[in-house]
Parts: sequence; C-alpha cells; structure tokens
Amino acid sequence: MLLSIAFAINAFAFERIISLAPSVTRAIYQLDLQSKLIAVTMYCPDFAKGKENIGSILAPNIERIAALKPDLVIITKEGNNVSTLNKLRSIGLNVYVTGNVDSFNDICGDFINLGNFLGCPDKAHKIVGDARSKMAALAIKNKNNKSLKIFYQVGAQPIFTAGNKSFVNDIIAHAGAVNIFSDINSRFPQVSREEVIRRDPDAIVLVALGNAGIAEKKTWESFKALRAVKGGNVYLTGDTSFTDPSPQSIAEAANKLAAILSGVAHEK
Amino acid sequence: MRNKYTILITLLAILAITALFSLSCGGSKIVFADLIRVLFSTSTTDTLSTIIWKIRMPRIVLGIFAGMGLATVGCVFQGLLRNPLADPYTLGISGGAAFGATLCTVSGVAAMTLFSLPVCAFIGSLASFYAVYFIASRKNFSISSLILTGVIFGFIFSSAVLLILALAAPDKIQPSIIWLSGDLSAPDVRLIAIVSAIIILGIIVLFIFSKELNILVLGEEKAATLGMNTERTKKIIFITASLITGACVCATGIIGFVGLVIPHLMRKITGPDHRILLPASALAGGIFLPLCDTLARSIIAPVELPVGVITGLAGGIFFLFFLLRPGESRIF
Amino acid sequence: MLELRLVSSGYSSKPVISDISFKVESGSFWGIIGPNGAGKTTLFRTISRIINPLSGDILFEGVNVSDIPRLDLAKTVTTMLQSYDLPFSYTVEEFVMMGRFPHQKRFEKPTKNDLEIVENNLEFTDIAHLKQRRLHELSGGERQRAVLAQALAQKPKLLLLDEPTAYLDIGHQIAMLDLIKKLNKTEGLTVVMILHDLNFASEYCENLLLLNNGKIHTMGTPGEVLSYKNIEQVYKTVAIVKENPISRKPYVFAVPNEYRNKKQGELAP
Repeated sequence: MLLSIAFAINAFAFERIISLAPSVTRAIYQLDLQSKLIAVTMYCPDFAKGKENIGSILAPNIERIAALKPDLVIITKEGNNVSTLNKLRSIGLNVYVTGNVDSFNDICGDFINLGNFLGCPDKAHKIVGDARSKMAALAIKNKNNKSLKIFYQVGAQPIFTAGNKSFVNDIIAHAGAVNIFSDINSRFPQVSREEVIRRDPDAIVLVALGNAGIAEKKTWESFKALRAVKGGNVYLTGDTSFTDPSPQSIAEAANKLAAILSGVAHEK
Repeated sequence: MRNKYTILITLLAILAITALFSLSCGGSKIVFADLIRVLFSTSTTDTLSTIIWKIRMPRIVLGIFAGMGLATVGCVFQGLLRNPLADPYTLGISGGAAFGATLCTVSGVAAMTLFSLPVCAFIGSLASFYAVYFIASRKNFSISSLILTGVIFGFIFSSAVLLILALAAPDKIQPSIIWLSGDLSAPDVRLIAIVSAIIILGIIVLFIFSKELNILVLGEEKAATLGMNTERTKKIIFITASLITGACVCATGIIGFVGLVIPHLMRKITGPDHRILLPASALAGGIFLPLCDTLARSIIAPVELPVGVITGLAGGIFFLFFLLRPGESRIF
Repeated sequence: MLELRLVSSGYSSKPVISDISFKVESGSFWGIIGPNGAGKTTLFRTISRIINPLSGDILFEGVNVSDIPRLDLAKTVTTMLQSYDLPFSYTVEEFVMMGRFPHQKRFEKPTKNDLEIVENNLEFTDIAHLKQRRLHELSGGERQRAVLAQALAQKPKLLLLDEPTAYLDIGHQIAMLDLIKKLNKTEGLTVVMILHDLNFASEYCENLLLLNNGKIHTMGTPGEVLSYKNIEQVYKTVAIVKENPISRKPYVFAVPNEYRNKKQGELAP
C-alpha cells in the first residue's frame, strides 16, 4: 500500500512542483498553485502546455525530472507505476502519492489531504465543499425519481465498465440512476457484450476512451432489440469531466449525466 | 493409414458439433432445446435471439473460417519452407497488420468507423507482404530468402508497433494489446462475410496445389527436375497464403499457435500427403479456434479472455502430449 | 540424343564452365570425371535446366532444350542429384510414386500404369519388401536405392546421375552400378554419370569426359582418357595406370608420397 506522506505542520510551501498525472495537474490549477508548477506529463491538459514536458505517464523521464530540481513530485496511485515511485525516491526526491479513487468520498478526502500538504487547506476545503453541496442537491432532486438502469461504458474491444469500487458509481447514483454492473466488486471490470444485452439497460452511456467512439455507438445501435436502442438512448460523450477523478469534475459529470437521463426518464 | 474420407467426414462431424456446442456456451448456458428453437424461429426481437444470432453466431462463424485459414496456411508454409516452426506469420504478414491496426487504434481512427480497423490492418499486411515479395523476387523466391526477409520485416514492424505504443495515450494501449492478442468479436457481419469468402477461395486454391506441395518437399532443385515450374508455383502459393493470412488477421487480430500446432497434430494422423493433410488441417483449425474462443469467453464470464491466450496454452499443452508419445517423433 | 555446343554456364556472369561441346549418342554410357571444382555439378545443373546456360546450345534429340516445356523435358530426362532433402516420413512407395509426377494430371489418382511402374522399379532395385516402410527407417544403401527407383519411375530416356554411389560401402556401390549398367544394356537407357572414383568410371562407362577448370580436358574411351599423364596434369598427383586383370580395362593406382622419390620410368610394367 502506498502511503500518502502528510506532514503535520506545513513548514514550507513548495516552489518547484512536478505533476506526473493529468488529474494532479488539474488539481494544482484548481488550487491556484500553477505558478509553482514547473513540469507536467505530455498528456496533461492543454492549459498546462506552457510547462516543461517530462514524458509519458507510465514512463516519465527520470533524468529530466531530476535535472529540474523539483522540491516536490506528485504521482497518483492508480495512474503511475510503482517503479517510477521507487526510482524517484531512490534519487532522494520528495514524492507525494495521492490516494484512492474508489469513491467520491475518497476523492474528496484525498483532495483535502493534498490541499493541506501543499499549504492551501482553505482553498481545498472550499472546492470540496462546493462539490459536495452540488452532489447533495442533485441527490435531493433525484430522490423521487424512478431509478433508471444504465450501462456506463469506458472502452471498446474489450468493453470496460465501472464496478462498485469506482467513483463512477457515485456519479451514476447521484444522477438518479442504477449502474447495471454495480454488483461487481472492482473498479473497471471488463464485461462481455452478451452480459450487457442480458441486463438490458434503459440507457447506454459511452465515454470516448480507447476504441469507444462513433463506431461503438453504431455497433450498439445495430442491436435493435435492446431497450436502450429502441428508445434511442445510446449516448456518446467526449466530455473530460466524466473521466477526471476530481471532486469538481465528478459533481459536474453527475449533473451532466442527470441532464442526459432526464430525457430518458420522461419517455418512460 | 485410415481411409482419407473417413478422416475428413469425422472432422466435419466434429466441426458441426463444436459449432452447436459453442453456440450454447457463454455468459449463460443456453439449453439445447432453446437453442434449436431460436435457430429455426424467425423472430429476432427477444434477448436470447439477439445473443445467439447477433453475438455468438457471427463470432463462431468467424472463428471457424479464421481457424481454417490459419491452420491451412500454417500447413502450407511448413511444407513450402520445409520448416516445422513455420506458421502463418513467419513471412512477416502479421507485423504489417499489427502496425496498421495499432496506428489506427492509437490515432483514434478506429473509434470512428467500424471498418477502419480491419482496413488499416489489411493495408498494413499488404505493405509487409509486398516488401517481402519484392525482395524475395530478386532472389528467385528462394526459400531461404523468403524466410529471412519475412523474419526481418516481422522484426522491423513489431519494433514500430512498440514505438507507437510507447508514445500512445494510456487509454489506447489496452485496446491495442487486445487486438494483438487476438479477438473474435468483430462486430460487423459484412466484414465477416468478406473475410470468410477470401479465406475459402484461398484454401481451395492452395488445395489445388497440394500435389506440388508434396513435390516441393523434395527441394527446389529436385522439384525442378521433375518438371515443376518452381518459381511460379512458389509465387502463387505465397500470394494466396498471404492473402488468407491478411484476411484472417484484419478481422481477428493476431491469434497464434493455431497455424503452428494444428498441422503438426494432423500430420500425425493423416501423414504428410498434402492432398489429405491440407483439408484435414483446415477442418481441425475450424474446430480448434471456436473451441478455444468458447473457453475464453466462458471460463471467467463475464470477463472475456483474449482468445490468443487460450490457443497458446491449449495448443502448447496438447501438442506436448503428442510429442511425448512413444515412437518416432520426426516432423517431416 | 544429347548434344552440347559451346556451352558456358555459371551462377553469376562469370562462367564456371565454358566451351563445352560433346555429343551423347542414344544408348551410350558416359562418365564425367574431374577434380573438385572442375564444374561437373554445374554442367549437370545446366543440362537439367536447374540453371540456364550463359551461352551456347543444349540440344535434346535435336531440339533446343530451352524450347522444350519443363514438364515435357521431365518426362524424358531424369536427374538424380547427389543430395536433396529426403522427406523422411513418406513411405517408400509414396516416395517412388513422386517420380511419376511429370506424367500425371493434376487431380488424377495414380493410374494402374503408374502403380505397375512403381512396383517394377521397386523390384528392380530390390526394395519391394520395404515399400510400406518410411524412409527414415531405411539404411543408407536402401535409401539410395529408393532414390534410384524414384528416378527410374520417371521412365526417362536419359538418366543423369550425380555421384550415385556417394556414402555407400563398396558392396552397395557395385550393386548400384551393376543395376545402372543393366538398365543401360537391357533397356537402352542413356546414362551420363558423375563419378569421383576413376576406377568405377573406367569399369562401367563406355566414354569418359575429363573436366578441368571448367573446360574439357580430354574426351574418349577410358583407355584414351585415363593415362597417367592426364591424371597427373589434371589431378596434380602421381598415379600409375595399369590394366585390370579381370576386365582388361584401365586401372588407376594412386602413388602415396613415400613411394614418389623413384623416377617414373622405374615403375614401368
């Protein structure tokens, strides 16, 4: 288990931070610390393009990282490699590892920890509080809605979906729907098309990752017997808020999903 | 040596049984009675019907034809190249296909249209085929030049694939790897139809040349003194076999071991005469691949393992038993 | 039957053999001899069209060989190569049947004629009792006979043999050569044979062609070709030629180094 290093008292703020994951980069910008950010990965969002590039997420350039003399490197538990962590530590760099992304609560807690660590606890609390209230409001709004069964797909060939150990499950629940695969105890299990057909969801939400795109949407639409297809409820979204494990994005995604599904609910 | 017709008819029967069995296997077992009802009914709107007709049937059909194609090409290359380690990918076709497919996936084009992935894979396989053909033709299609060129281009292209993967966005890597491990879930029935047609035609052409294949085993010089136009024969065989492989690979990705192991197994049953070895290998391949795929998608349902994993394990273990049997274990 | 006119041949633009001209009459028995690298195998490969000549003509029964379709040529000329990949898991019968390839149509099963020819040749080479065995189960001598049987099954008029007795013990060598001689005498099969052993060549061949450095050195009967002068010139070794007391044909004696200090004249008969 990778532990997050939390200093009890933040004696000094960090001036040279390197982020090794897009979600971390986004978090840093949200916390308004981008001036301290000196380098990011090549897949980090466009607004960070001006920063130094230290390579890919799975195999970042350790030499370059070291040459930039950061005082803090932030990596994620689920996106980066353990070997990267070990290498960075072995050359004596200060590394912070973010925690679980298994649920909305976990992510909020983690964000606050990060905020504390970086010396801006108030900002972090505000952001998280904001997200939490958005989610709460959504839950209340959807309290009396009939629960729709949806299939949430995050990749094609093979088909990946979200199990109950994923923050996506929270997105779906707060949007007033039921994840047809919430019985699977893992984060992003691979499932067969056959199984999806058997569970016959009311709506299919395709997130454009991997090979899930227009082709996959067309493929689903060819299965005319499916309830979701009959109702015209196969949705494709390239919205990054659906794939970003940060408190704000999750709240946004939940709202967007609720909006999409409200169309479906009315047809019922 | 058993009568060759007996062997072929037995294989055909096993093929039919395997197909029916595979249709009834999957995430949920489908009772035989239900299966028959669905197969013969005309309604296509219920869940069971959808699963059988739109998911399992195309998959099994593709598995049968791809299995036939790969086994036949493996058999032919082992004879042509006089090498027991030859398989459909020895002459570099898979490298180009992998390159085309990976490029397509990583660039995001694969997500856009249904045909883009197979088309890219096929174009890739044509590229590597042409490269090998061009260089081999300058050496009169000598066997050694074919093998060397094929192996070299195989290496070049797989390095290129690794290069692309190293630079790929993380979410594009998984689908690339799945394609490279073999995947029978091609969604479009039209693709399956086109590919199957190419495979069957190719197999027929190769079968027509089975006597020549027998003679070629004697070596190119001896074959020439027996009156064979060896260069023309080798060219035709190479082109046809490459087309079959390209067709298989573009629809299913790279499924290994079928082309390597099945011909060896069948050679022990039918003997080395290609006039029976070839059709027997084809049928056996058509049995083996769908069976492996059935296993791949049933063993830890609803998760589906890549079929290449099962063909490798099953093929390898099965063949070990055969090899360890007492008696002469000569390959040729 | 076979005529070569100023033939040059090789594997690249530089010829290995050049200016080769000789005639092989129908029913004759020729031996091709010469040191290693003289071009014997190249000559063979050129005659059997495995490689094409760089210049010159090869005529088979008056027709230029390049005008004869390969398959037709295979019905009349058989080349028994020195070594080629034997498909060890075929049975002897299947293997010999391959010799019928040029005479068979594509999808035809072996005809009664084919089966008869194969059977006859198996008997002729005395391996009929082995016909169901696989090639890898045979001894070297038996395998060589199977290779001969396959060559004969092609029913050629002209038989080209490259070292048919290589790897055989003396008993098998004589047996093989006797068989070939029998074919030549009783069926009028024209034979052209590459041999390393000068004495076998002398014994069995009517005519000899001595090749050296890609050119014809001498041509004629064994008595004309196998003189000690020719042998010393071509093989760069000392030899003495006497008469074989049984067959009266020339017999070549090698002279090892320890006996060479004596002058030639002192070893005269």
